[in-house]
Amino acid sequence: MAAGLVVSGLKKRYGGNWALSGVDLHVEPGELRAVIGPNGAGKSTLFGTIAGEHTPTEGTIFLDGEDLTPLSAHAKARRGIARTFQVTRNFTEMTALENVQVAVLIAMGQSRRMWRPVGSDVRSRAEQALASVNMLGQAHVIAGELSQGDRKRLEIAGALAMSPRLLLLDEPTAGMSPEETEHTADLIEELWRREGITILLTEHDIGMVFRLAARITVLDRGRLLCTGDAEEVRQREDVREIYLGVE
Amino acid sequence: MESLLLPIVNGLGLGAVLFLVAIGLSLQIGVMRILNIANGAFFMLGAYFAVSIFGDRPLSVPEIVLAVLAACLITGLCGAAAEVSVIRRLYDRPGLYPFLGTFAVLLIIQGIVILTYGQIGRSSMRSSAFHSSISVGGLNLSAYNLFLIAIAALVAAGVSLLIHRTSLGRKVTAAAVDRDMAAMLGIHVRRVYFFMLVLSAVLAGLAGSLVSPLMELNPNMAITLLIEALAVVVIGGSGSISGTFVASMIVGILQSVLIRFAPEVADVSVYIAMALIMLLRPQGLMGRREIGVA
Amino acid sequence: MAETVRMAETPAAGTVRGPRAGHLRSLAPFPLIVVAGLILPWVTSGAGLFLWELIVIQVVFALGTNLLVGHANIHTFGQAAFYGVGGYAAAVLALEGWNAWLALIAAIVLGSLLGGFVGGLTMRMTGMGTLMVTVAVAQCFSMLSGRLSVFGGDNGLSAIANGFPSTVGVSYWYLLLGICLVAIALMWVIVHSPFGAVLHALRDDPVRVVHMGVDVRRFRVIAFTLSGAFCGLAGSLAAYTQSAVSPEFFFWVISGNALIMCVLGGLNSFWGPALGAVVYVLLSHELQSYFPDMSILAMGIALLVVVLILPRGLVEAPRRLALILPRQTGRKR
Repeated sequence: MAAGLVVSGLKKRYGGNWALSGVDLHVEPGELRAVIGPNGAGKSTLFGTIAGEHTPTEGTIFLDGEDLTPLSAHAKARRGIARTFQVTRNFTEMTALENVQVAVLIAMGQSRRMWRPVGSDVRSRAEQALASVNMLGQAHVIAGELSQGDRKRLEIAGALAMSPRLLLLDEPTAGMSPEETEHTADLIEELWRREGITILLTEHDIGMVFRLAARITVLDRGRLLCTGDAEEVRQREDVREIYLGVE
Repeated sequence: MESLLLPIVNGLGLGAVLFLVAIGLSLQIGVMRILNIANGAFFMLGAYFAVSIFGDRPLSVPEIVLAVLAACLITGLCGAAAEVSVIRRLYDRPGLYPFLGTFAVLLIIQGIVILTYGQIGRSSMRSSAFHSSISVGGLNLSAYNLFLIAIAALVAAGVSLLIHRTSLGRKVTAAAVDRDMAAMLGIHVRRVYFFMLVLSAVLAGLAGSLVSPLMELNPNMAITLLIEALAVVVIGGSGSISGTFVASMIVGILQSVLIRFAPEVADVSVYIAMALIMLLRPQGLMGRREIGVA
Repeated sequence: MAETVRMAETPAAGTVRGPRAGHLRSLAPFPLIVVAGLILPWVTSGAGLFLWELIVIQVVFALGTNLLVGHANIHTFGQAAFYGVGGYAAAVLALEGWNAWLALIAAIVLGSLLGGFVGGLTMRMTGMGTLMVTVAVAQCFSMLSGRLSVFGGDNGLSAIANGFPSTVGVSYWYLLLGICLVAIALMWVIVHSPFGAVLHALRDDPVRVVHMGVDVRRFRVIAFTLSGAFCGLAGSLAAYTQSAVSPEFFFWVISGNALIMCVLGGLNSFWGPALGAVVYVLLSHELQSYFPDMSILAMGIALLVVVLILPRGLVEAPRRLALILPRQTGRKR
């Protein structure tokens, strides 16, 4: 069985509508793959299905040779799939450090530990995760009061704290200013180079996609259109067409 | 079979009263996403008001009609007052607060009733009209119960017509399905909510005044009936008018029949039925999984 | 991992909360309670002591309720079910001749079993569904308890002979205070543990918690079980202290009281409900002596005031006042 993420024939139907009609995807370990496509192409559904938010109607999802298809979202998370959300999700009433501590606690299997306070081992791992996204200085700031860009960094720190085998980044720069987009792109690139995690990312900002990803998968109306190197994809007629429409 | 007919008719009468309270609950859950426990207070208020308006004596039919109408008016006004002063501030509040606000309204209304009428029970409404019966196939059925059933059926039809056939009904449905979208389309969502709450209060008051001949009144009737109405909403499916109607009748008949044959389990049976439905068919008998008014 | 720690370019803006300071402040009430509890018998006696016994039991009840309502954002209106089950279990067993301590433990166990059952029933439900189920469960108990003669019918059971040293006198106060302090301490540990942190995260954003690897449904069952245990304990202690238990233990007023005490004091803090319980019971007691018919109305008004004006409870009142007063409003806590 191949290593990395192998998605075969993935289909997802809602009522009479096929949101995904047979997607094949193979992301090598340590690769940073971008998924692009116009609105309605099925990018969010693809992410949601891989992450376990939706159950696939047909098809399989394998990670490093392990069949993860039937698992629920929390089970997939335990098996190493971490994700961030298009609308950034954090625990807004807690500090940044407390946010990441929750992720660490769960990853360390301590979520049901009731008889002792949160240990210093958890705390230091959380601090390390914060440091890796350059947010250690804001450890004690309440998450709800962070800036947009910082909140995304915090969300990513939480995902990293899970020591994931696969990181799904769902439109990480959605709604950000150009400056914040730059910083977030820098951060993703730095994390990828340093940690070597497998990353699957979807984005509307094409510039950022071409900057970060070596290989790009293009979706259109629930199907896989093509997968290829950035340059290849950029030149293709059919890719231009789905974005620009038939003139 | 004949021995069942009487309890069934009684049960339908009880179901009619339940329906009038439950439909308000169901609509408010479906449209405003709020569990308005104060509906029970309006029920109680309707009963107390209808009984006390003419003093403690047997009433003639026109007086009864007047009492019922007056009770509806009063509860409608109270509902309006509650909506404007309290409940409207709570629609957007997170967590338990909307419910707590309605609970506060219930407590205040019940508290005022206790202060005015005392804690002990109050006798029911009396009139010779309540003793008349209609002969059906050799059996004497209480005319009043048949009257109640007719009222409930009329209300169900009326509410259904309102929701499905009028422009106001379309606004209600729109607001229920997607509040922000409805607002953007120019619908006064606040007014829709106000209307739903007042309508529910009036129907609850109607129920209270109509049930006042059948039982001793006491301040606790607010909550005890409301909890049964909640069970009806769960069994029928919130947001569904027909579901609420059917569920009310089923619950009414179930209770009435069991009281006759197995009285120890009569009142708990409702909740067992509710638990079964929640486990086996969580959307209720006729509810739909998406929120909407059916 | 990274050898050098790079500090963020922007300095910390927004509210800052140091972790150590938070915990210390949260532990502070313990010694205060112990001292106050030791002194109390010198300051009051007889009826006064009895009132404080009831207060400390209601503190446990409110804190137990808040495990669900405040810390997990689980909507429940049926805490009376656990309270009553605890009360009746202890009373029935004590009257059967059981050792009072064993009966107490049985009450806790039964409370937690019922909690687990209700948690299981409501595993997948929304807030409204849970509200409806919990109120229905409590109502069932309320109806049945008045009917079954083994439970004493409408009048309940009374004069519970138990193995505790007699329930009058200062020694009982100390015993009761001790038991309650242990319960409160356990709840404190639970809330400040990893489990508590995950519970708070669940309250904040359940979807995120799911995608971190937590089975939310199981968590709800655990939370309900814990709440059932502590509320059951409160009920059993109430039965012992009053030497009586009755169907009133299951009454919706009890569930309402629990919610009001929590909200009055402050849902989102650990000690809020304790403060709420003290204030609420004291005020109700005063009111009861002068205007007995007004208790329901007063409940309603108090709840209304809190919901509309002071949603974060009395615990936040000093801070709200400080913000209103003309002073430099720094955002550091």
